[in-house]
Amino acid sequence: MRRFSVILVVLFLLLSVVGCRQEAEVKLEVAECAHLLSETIAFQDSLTAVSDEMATVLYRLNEADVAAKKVYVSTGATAEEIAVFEAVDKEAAARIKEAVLQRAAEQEAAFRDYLPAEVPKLQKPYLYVVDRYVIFCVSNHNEAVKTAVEELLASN
Amino acid sequence: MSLFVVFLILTGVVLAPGYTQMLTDKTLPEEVIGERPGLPGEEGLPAEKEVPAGETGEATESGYDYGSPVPPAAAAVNEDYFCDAVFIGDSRTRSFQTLSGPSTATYFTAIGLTVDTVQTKPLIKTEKGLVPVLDALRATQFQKVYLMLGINELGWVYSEVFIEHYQKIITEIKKIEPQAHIYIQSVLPVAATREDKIYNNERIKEYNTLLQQLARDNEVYYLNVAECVSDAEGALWEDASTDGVHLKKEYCDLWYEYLRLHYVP
Repeated sequence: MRRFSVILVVLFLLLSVVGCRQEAEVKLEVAECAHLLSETIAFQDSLTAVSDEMATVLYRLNEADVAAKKVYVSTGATAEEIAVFEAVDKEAAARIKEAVLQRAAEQEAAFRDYLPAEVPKLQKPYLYVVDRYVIFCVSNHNEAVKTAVEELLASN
Repeated sequence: MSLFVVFLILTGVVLAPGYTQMLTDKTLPEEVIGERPGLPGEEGLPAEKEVPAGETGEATESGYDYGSPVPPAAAAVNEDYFCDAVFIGDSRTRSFQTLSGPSTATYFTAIGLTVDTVQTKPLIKTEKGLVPVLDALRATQFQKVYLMLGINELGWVYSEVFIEHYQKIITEIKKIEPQAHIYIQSVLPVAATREDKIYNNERIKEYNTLLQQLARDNEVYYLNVAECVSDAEGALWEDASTDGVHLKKEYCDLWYEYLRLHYVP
């Protein structure tokens, strides 16, 4: 009986450790994240939030993949942009990531002859996929964007 | 030999009207400099004052004065009005689309678009892949076309080349949809602090005068949208953009409001 009790306690302890090591669910408010970036990152251009409909058009999204989205675009003077998406699941997040990469490629092609100085931003944008979330930002301040996003995620 | 003579005579008969037309063509560059007969001088441009429709200059058979900008209407139209409209333009129109433009319209825009690449460069994504703007237009149902081109062509040596290409676009649009209302929008100004040897408001005014004449000659509509974002000197307001060229949302909103108020039923 005593041996059985010891086994039970050990099992209980093991299960507790395993439970603690499971990945904590990521929670992010996409509008809050996009707004934070628009306010804290030193963009060269003036960025404006677009309608959800326009965001879908710009990124050629499948609406069935998207639970929430927030996109800020520039005036056209630069290629700067913010796009934060919450997908319905991780598979949808992967598809949204592909849509984002396609958007970056199209913008790069468009700006290459028109404003070549913008191309480096588009070749190495900030793109972070975590759980169901896709965070994309085109600027000259990838490190600052990374820091802002990490702090926001840690606070949630 | 006699057959050759006949050939020469026939050739002369065929070509003579064309040569005559060239000699009297009012669109020849040397006739564009200075004040042109039939067009008001700059200080009298209808765009600078409210003028009722049909009272600004030459009347056509239809009674509409194509030589003058479209005057303001009594009431603004709403977004539904643009459901059969196509906007063709460069990066400024692209920004207009994303920031303020009617979502009901169709947009064929491209960064760096010019009057020649409208016809030739595959820039518009369709089901068949990338196609030139005019090809995309051919596959579209529309009743109104809004054109704004010119900012990327300010550096062209010959403004008449710009007009020649613009003419080809208008001709082609009329072939695609003969009943469509075609609106030539004036080139928007640049900020005074942005002006340089190429991008300056004097050059833009020159282009706009040519565009107004083009509208008159083709009996299409001229929209002086530039006036809605210009200061007293005809420059773009300094706070309207971050680079002196591309409009912020608030000024794209003004552009849209201008279109809602200036239309031909």
